[in-house]
Amino acid sequence: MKYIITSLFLCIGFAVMAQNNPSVSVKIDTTNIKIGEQVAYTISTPNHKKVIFPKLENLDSLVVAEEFTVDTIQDRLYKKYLITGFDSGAFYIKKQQVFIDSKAYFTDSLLINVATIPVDTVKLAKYYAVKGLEKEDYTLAEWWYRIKNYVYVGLAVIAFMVGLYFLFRNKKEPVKVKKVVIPPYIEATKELKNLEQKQLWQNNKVKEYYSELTDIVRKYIGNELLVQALETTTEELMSLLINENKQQKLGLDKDTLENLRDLLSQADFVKFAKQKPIEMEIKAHQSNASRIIETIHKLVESKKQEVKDDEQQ
Amino acid sequence: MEVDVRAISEKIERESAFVDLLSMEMNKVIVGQKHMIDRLLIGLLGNGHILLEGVPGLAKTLAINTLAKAVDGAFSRIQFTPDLLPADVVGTMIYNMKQNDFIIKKGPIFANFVLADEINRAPAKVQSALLEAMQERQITIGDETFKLDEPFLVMATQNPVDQEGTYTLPEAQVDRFMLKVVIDYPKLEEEQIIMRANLTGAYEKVNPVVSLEQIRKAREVVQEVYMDEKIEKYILDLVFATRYPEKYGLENLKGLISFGASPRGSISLAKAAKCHAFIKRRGYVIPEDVRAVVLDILRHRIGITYEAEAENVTAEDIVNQIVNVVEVP
Repeated sequence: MKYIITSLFLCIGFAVMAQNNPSVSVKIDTTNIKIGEQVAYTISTPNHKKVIFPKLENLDSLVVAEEFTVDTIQDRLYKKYLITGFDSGAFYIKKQQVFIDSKAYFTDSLLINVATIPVDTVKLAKYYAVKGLEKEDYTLAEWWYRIKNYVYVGLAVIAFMVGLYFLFRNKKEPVKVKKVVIPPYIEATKELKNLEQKQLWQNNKVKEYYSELTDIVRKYIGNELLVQALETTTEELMSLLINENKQQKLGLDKDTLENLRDLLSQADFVKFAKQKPIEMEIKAHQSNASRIIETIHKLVESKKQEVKDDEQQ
Repeated sequence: MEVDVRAISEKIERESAFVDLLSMEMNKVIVGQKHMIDRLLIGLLGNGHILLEGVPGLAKTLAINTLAKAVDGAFSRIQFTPDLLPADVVGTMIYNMKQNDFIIKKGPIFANFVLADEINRAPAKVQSALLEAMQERQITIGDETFKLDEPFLVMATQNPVDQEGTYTLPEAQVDRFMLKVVIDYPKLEEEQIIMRANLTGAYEKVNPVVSLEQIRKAREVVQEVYMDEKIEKYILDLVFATRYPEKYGLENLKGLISFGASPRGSISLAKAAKCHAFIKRRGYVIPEDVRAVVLDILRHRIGITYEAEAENVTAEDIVNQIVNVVEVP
């Protein structure tokens, strides 16, 4: 009876243990290696969420050469280690602890024989001397790496020299084109002559004639008296001239000013009101323009002479 | 087509006789401000609208009121306030219980002379309603469109001071005003007359001296005023110089102008120059006419940059610089 009960307990115990063990297994490809050879040691467990594989420590004279990441094949997890030994002898890989869902399970321990390599000194035919250092040619990249700093410094020096050259080179004097300044009076008389030669009013281009005629007079006044004559209207120019006459004390008489006003306003009629003056009027305006230019020129010249005389005194 | 300038001049001599009458009638109550009165006439003859800028008390309202009385036209005044609605300006449809129907109630814009007082105090939607009416010269209320009576002149005022809580007129809308006139204080002697007249109440009554028909006729004659190609070129040069100042030797203005005058600016300048010639009893436009109105036509059509504002350069300065550089034909 006792025997039956004991057997029953034992059976139940094994059965319970068998159900709790989640079949942690260990596999090794060989148990006999030579010094330096490697042996693959693989621990496999069922695929659970939380499995912690051991670090493989305390392997006596054995060492872990490489540890691979965990691999999953079907429903199992595999952790592979490459183990090697550099001492001859028989060494145990002890039981390793694997945690599955925070519970510890143990692998089986394994024995590995590490054998030495037999060296037959008799059969060795020849000894060779230790080879000296051999020189390897540099690649382009290595060359560049070695010389780049010198190149940079060289380029900087060249750039500096070029800069200095441009800075201190003998600057050639630019050829000065002497602009011939034609006195306003000469320019105006020349332009008046050209205008007559064009024969504009004779060819029924009275408007163009008056435009050019007044432009010549305005330009002359502007250049001679240094006022903005081309950008002002007739009335503005007249008041400007009256002011200048007072300020510069030019001595322009009333007649000249009236003649100018008459010329400009008649020209305005022709230019903007389609008025067509008769030949006599045109000729009168032409001589009027010449006279105005002449008068202003004389006054300006005498003024200049006065200033010169004052300076000499 | 051959233009007979002499005939036009004679016609103008006849048709512009009312100008002096009108000026005299306005001068009964408005002392000085000749520039403003001239510009009002230009707006009236040129079928344009006027934006008046000046501090309070410079007779802006009185001027347009007097003009309306002297021309014998209908006058209305709209005081622009922040709570004003477009319907308050153009009109709306109201329910008539007797007729059991909606009837149209026309707004104050249906007049010959409309004073939009302090236009920048009303929100954009109201300004927009007025400015659209100014441009289209017609109003749509409900599904009915009404043509506005001719002449139709809007004179809007705005204050250069007290800008808090105002709605600045957008550039696109300011462009619809033919002229922007800046009014300054009267001269000392003028103010003395104003003061005396106010103390004694000695202002004369303004009588209608010009009929609307005369104005309409004058407008037609203004269109006939001869403008030579050279003047057209001069106007275009002035306008183009606001757009491309560097082409006119004004490189310094390039960074100061954000946008130049629009083609509406050229049109308004040409129209205003013709009106000025008409007022001066001339049948043709001369550069003086263009110069006389250029500032009032272009000052609100030029946008200035931040740089210009920082350097205290105004649109007026820019116009003056342009005028001093562009050659007169």
